[in-house]
Amino acid sequence: MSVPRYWAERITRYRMIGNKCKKCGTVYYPPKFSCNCGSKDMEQYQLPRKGILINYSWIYTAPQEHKKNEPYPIGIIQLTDGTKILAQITDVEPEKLKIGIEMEAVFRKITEDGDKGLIQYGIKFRPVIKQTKNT
Amino acid sequence: MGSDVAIIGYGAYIPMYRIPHKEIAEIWGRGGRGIPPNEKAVAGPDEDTVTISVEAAINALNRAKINPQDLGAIYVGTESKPYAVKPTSTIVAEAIGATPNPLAADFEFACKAGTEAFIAVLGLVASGNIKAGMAIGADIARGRPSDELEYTTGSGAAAYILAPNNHDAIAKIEDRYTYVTDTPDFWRREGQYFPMHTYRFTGDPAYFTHVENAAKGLMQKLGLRPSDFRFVSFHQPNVKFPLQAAEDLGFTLDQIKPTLLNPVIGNAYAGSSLLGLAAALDISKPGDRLLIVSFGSGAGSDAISIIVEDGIESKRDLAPKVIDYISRRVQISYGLYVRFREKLRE
Amino acid sequence: MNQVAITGVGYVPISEHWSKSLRMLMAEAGFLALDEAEIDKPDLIIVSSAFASRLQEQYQLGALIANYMGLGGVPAMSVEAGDASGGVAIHLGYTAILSGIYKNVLIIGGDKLSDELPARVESVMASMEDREYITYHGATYAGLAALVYKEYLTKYGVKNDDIALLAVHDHSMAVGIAHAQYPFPIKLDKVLSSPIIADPIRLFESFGFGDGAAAIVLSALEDIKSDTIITIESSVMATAEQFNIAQRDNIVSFSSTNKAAKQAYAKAKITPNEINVAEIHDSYTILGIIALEDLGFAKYGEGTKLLKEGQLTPGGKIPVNTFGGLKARGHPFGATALYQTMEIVKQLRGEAPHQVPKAEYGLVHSMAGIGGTAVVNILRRMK
Repeated sequence: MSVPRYWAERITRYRMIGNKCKKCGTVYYPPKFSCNCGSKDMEQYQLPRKGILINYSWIYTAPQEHKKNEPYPIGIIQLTDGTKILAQITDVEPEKLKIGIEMEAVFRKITEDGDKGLIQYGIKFRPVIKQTKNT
Repeated sequence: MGSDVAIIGYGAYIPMYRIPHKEIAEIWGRGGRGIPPNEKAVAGPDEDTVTISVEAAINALNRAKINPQDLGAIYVGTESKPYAVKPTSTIVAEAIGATPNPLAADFEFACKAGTEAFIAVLGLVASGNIKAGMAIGADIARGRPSDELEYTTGSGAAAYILAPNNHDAIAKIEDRYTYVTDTPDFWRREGQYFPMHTYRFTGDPAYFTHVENAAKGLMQKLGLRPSDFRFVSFHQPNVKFPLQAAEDLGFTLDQIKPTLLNPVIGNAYAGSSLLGLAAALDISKPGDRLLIVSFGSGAGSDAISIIVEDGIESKRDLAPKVIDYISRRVQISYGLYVRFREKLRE
Repeated sequence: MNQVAITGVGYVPISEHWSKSLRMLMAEAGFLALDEAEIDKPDLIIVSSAFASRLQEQYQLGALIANYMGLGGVPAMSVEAGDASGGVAIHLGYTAILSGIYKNVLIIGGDKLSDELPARVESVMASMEDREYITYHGATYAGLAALVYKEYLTKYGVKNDDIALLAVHDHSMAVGIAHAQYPFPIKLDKVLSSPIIADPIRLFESFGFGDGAAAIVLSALEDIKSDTIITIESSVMATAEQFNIAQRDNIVSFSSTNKAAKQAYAKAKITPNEINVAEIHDSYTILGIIALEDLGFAKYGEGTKLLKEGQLTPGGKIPVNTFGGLKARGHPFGATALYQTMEIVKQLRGEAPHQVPKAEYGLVHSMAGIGGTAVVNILRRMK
């Protein structure tokens, strides 16, 4: 993975920052230069970090750079603001993975260039951690 | 010291996977002989010291309710940083949105690196040099296969945000006392992946000398006794050492029980005592006095006394607690442990 | 007024061609097409390859192939649009002829997947989708098709078996086809018991990695001498409304195919009912079922009905993939649309082993990835 190419996308990836069309309100992640509605008036937009899993699939024939982690699930998560995002799913036992469960974004390693090269980070999703509240 | 610095946010993170000691013992043909009856936390294959630090940091920010742009320093104390050269803290800073403002550096002092970072941030806040700062203790400890340490090398991270004391504070820092010498009880040479340790030498000359001197030094300085503290969090390389130190110093089992995480997560190294402190904060009340005594091989100990403030009541539930991470448990086999932590090296 | 005729076709068998390089396969196919068209030198060469820049590390493929064929000097270009490379190349050739600037265009498609290890090929294939935000996360072509598959099963209450049946159909059509990669029948239970590659997609619901090259010659109609004239009545290309699958409102229909098909029918002044034989893009069975719907042959959610009723066979309502489709004939990416076109030409000429009687209109559907680009070409036997 090219270092400059990775570096240029880091904020979008690390912090889930997309953009939003000021004219029609459509949110894009990853950001688009201009909107499908024709407007070029776009503003930065912070995606929420929680959502519902609406689709997923376990990948058994991974590409070279992800071979180590085979098999792993990818999924589409609908975030609380309605935006949908594709991401890898982590920290879940296969039998617990179901459509409709609540997910949250976590910062994880995505790939790495062997043991000498750059480590690539990004956002994955995992089932939400149950929080106990103090009585 | 008399500074007016407080903890305004804290956050923990413990990975999901667990491996029982029995499982490790059986692989190495030690079934039945003197095995500790517990388990430890194992980080998943997509986790490293950076990622666990980021989650602890986000939890701390959620409790502190400050703008990450207000952080003037982000210091990470660890001995398992993925890059020997390139700070974990800059990646954390970028991931939480603190860039481009903060001082960012990684600290190394074995398991005391977290409290070193904590005290450095404390100094910067106390001197007015920064508005707020974050200190993180995080490790994914490395156990040499078949070595006794393999039972206890665990993983975890804890992050603390310090700022001048205000109405929203979780706990104010009362004082600290440090005891440091050149005592080589455990080390890792440049270029080596697994560390070396010195068996029984790690006890009296190392752990107990430094921990007990730091704790005593602090209590003497403040004119306090063990009974003045509600909870104490010692560094936990195993279960025996912190229990022994507590006994030697005059603390009761009730004071140490809530912070004793080693039986479940193992030794989280630079995260260990700071995670114990987080567990204590999770259940403390305003007015409680808490003691944290870290220990880093090499060797040294920081003893820090804090007094819980009103802010804990409203902030405690704003992020997952230590118990929430402990309850999230998936047991794995030794084979999966080897795979996750890449112990088979080419 | 200018019209575009297909005056020559050429192709090599699809398999693992260990001893033949990509340029050799392309030249072979190219000359077979030129010979049939009785042309020594085309005015324009369009080379179509999805992966040559990564698998063979070769750029400027147009000039390279032209030169390798002793046609140095002839204008040549390289076209890439994932699995739709061939469709797009044909579309460009079509527009080149209609422009009046070029009279004879040679279009050669080829790809050689056996040149790289499978995991690297997976990585290259995944690069057809957004490298930075989709495949960055480990999504593969099969993985994304799997999401579509799952959604389709849930939305329409259809069974796995019914989708997988398309692979059985493709294989039955490949029997007796000399250039097919897997020219033998297969039973449904064999498909359903093959290993999962991305759940729920099984190995035998997916194309296999192979090498191939196929070529066609397009000529301006007034230059035709032959008795049978096959024309391209319309050629339409479209890209997806939303390239990122996660952001689509409906992932079980591909707007690119749908749009290209609607416009292609309109321009050819026909309806889907008048298509006598079609080649649809079924890199994965689910994409083939959805193609039947997007191309207007079946109502949405009812693609499998057509299949189960036997309507896709040469005697049925809409014969489809009569040489084996992407599953059994093969899918050498950049060459696929050229094979599809050649196969429709054979049907329209009356030369197909599984002949559709009196075929007059044929349709070629070429699509990239999970619908990023689609081309629909409607062919017609004029006389």
